[in-house]
Amino acid sequence: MEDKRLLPMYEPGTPKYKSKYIECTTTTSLQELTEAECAPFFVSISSLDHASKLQLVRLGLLSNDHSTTIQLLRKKHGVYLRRALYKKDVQKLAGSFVTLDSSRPWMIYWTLHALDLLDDIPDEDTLVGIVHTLEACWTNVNGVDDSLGGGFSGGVGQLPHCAPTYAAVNVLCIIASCDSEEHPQSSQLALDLLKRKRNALLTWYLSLRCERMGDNEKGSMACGFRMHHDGEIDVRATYCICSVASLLNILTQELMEGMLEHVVECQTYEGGFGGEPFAEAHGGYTFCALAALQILTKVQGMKHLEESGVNLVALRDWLVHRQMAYEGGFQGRSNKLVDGCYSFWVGGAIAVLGLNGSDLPFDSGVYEDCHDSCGVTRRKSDDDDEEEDGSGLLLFHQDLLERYVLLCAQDVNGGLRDKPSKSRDFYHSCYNLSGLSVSQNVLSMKRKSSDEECDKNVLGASHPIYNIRVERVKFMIRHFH
Amino acid sequence: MIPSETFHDITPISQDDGPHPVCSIDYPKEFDEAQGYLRAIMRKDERSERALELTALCLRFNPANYTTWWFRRQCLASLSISPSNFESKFTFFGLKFIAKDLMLAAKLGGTNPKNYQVWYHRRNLLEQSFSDIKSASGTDEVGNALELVNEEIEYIATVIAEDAKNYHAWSHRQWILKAINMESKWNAEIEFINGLLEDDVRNNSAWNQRWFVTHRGSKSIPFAIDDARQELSFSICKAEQDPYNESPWKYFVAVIKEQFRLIGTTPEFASLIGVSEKALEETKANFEQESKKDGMECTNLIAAHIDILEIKGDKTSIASAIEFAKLLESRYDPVRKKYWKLRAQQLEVVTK
Repeated sequence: MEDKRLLPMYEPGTPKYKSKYIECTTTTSLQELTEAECAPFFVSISSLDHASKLQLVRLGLLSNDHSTTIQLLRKKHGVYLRRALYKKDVQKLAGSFVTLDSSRPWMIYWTLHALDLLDDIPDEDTLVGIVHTLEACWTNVNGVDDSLGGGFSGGVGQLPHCAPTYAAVNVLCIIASCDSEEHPQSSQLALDLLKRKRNALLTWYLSLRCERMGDNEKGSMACGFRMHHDGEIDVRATYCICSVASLLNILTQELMEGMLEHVVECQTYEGGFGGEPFAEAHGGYTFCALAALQILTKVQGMKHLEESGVNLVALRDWLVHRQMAYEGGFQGRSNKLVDGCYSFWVGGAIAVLGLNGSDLPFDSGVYEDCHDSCGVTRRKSDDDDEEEDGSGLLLFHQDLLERYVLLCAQDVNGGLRDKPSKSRDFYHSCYNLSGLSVSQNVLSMKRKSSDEECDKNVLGASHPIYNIRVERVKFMIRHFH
Repeated sequence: MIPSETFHDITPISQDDGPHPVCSIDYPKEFDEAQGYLRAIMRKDERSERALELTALCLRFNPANYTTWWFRRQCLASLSISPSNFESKFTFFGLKFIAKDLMLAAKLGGTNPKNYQVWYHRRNLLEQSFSDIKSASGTDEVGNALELVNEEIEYIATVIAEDAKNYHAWSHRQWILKAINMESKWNAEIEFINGLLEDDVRNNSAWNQRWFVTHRGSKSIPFAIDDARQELSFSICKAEQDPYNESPWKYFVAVIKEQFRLIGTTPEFASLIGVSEKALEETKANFEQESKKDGMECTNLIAAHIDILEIKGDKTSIASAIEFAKLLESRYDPVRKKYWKLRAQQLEVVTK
């Protein structure tokens, strides 16, 4: 039977869609190398000889020698991801991880969220340990109490910082929303911690504001945020703050003032967004800008994203051109290389736009209440034949993106990576899986194919704005709104 | 390694992350010891030379520790005693400290140019100097500050020479140019960009920089029509070198779109877009003649053409645009099948 889901229109290994050039430059050479390193992975399973198939079975990539669907290495990824969550006396991360000593809440988020998508949450003891560790990473501004605000830091005794705060809050949301029968202690501890700290977070966030004269015709005020006191201003901070503040319901008028104007200024001539006004359009910053805009417009009662002043057409056009014709994964910037983490930054951004292949306006009601359904259920389309090739309703080639993650990004020993020539790490594991989840679940009926093996690869549905599971976002709405 | 006599009066403080923390790191011994002393020093808020040395040691192990960088700046500010420290809204750092720390940042940044903290440190150190240029004139201070600026621009160029698309380097470069806002620097930057595009016409960071420079870093200063023509001429010339290349086409269309928003209803614009379309079609024809290939393969050229036709908006143009979009969808750009289908549908609505 034809394996529709794997390679619907490409022949395995065909160079037809490799990138072309007239003039050879550094960019074209690097691109050629990348295509070459991916090429060996794009094989038709059915055409492999028996020995090769057995090899794949042994590695866990195929369930048996008759199968033609590459498997997600759930067990191996689970083992790899757990490394970050052992208690100190059981196992520590190697000394080389000292360079991530200011990103410990991040490591906890990357691994716990990935495990959550795999339906493989660690045990109660671990979750309790996580909450205590995050509590130890809380730092208040005056060094005495929370009266002048506070936030989570990258490590014990460090200054509060927007990024680890975002990560910590996401982790606490995951744990707080766990079933209270299975996780009686940890879920309560996590919820308590969030409730206790939400006011201090608002105070601290307000102190990070940087108002300035907007660079726009109206001359209205624009407000960016520092990532930490005496730190850099960029659009990541706006996203981190919007995400946390909207989950905890502290996104006040005062906090929001000028945010929208600042974000909109970061859109470039290419259509994507950079970290600061005029900085190059980049997948990571584009996600942050768009997710922040979606939160802000919704909270401010706007019906359409366009009301924010963003050029949605240019943004859409830029996003779809990040998908690599040969590799199937996404690049982060024009004329740069594919990288598995952009599966989420770009794929997720496209999901946030709620775009699909049909002639519907940009904000057609899928994100009417973006906290709720998130478009996990399929929308009725006039043209039901669209689903025939199984490629789903998001405005990118979902099958090819999933192919990239499964074939090129998986490490056979567990964990996921940027591209075949790079090593696995927790960050890439998180964002490859998050991108895969978005592609599989958002605006798509859980694609029940006739192939059970494909369904085994389907992950839990991650919310494309917050990047934690949809039901966990719903929990936060119930408890904080 | 710092000799223990240096801190004989200090009792190190160990890291307190609770009894059973997760995600623990097996710190290298030297780092663990240094951090122990640093915690004690920071608790005392001792901003001394030895504190400075300690931060440098710790940063060698973890150059991403933003707290250590922050404390380092506290030390530098305290050591740079100046009466103006109290009035200035910037932290004043003495020149010799700035120079020394720029070197340190370069050393620590050298192996990992993607580190935010290192670049922010540079920015923070230099902010005061740039404010001096703007406020003073013809004094020694300005001379020193200008020298720093030139050296910094040079330094960034060396990082770009190694990694022509380094995001932080380019951001930092934009910040300096805008902060000092000198015509001579803006002009020199165009030369710098052109050089990079000679090396690699696909360097999208350089293209982005060109947009930044020609707009003087402000959205309120769009192109006058003559400048627009010049930019169109420049970008199509580069596009001709390799019509597959996305960067010049994006730039080309963006210039047209900006003019459309400003003067879209004028005969000048009609002329501009007509000339542009012709140039694009010529590029395609030349490509087909020289390479003996189908010009439709240059999907970025075709995409630009579709955008132009859509702006023109007349019946014939829209019909052509739809045709192109359908060809891209069905044959030439299948990874974007769904997108091209949507474009064709939206264009069909326009026709009605």
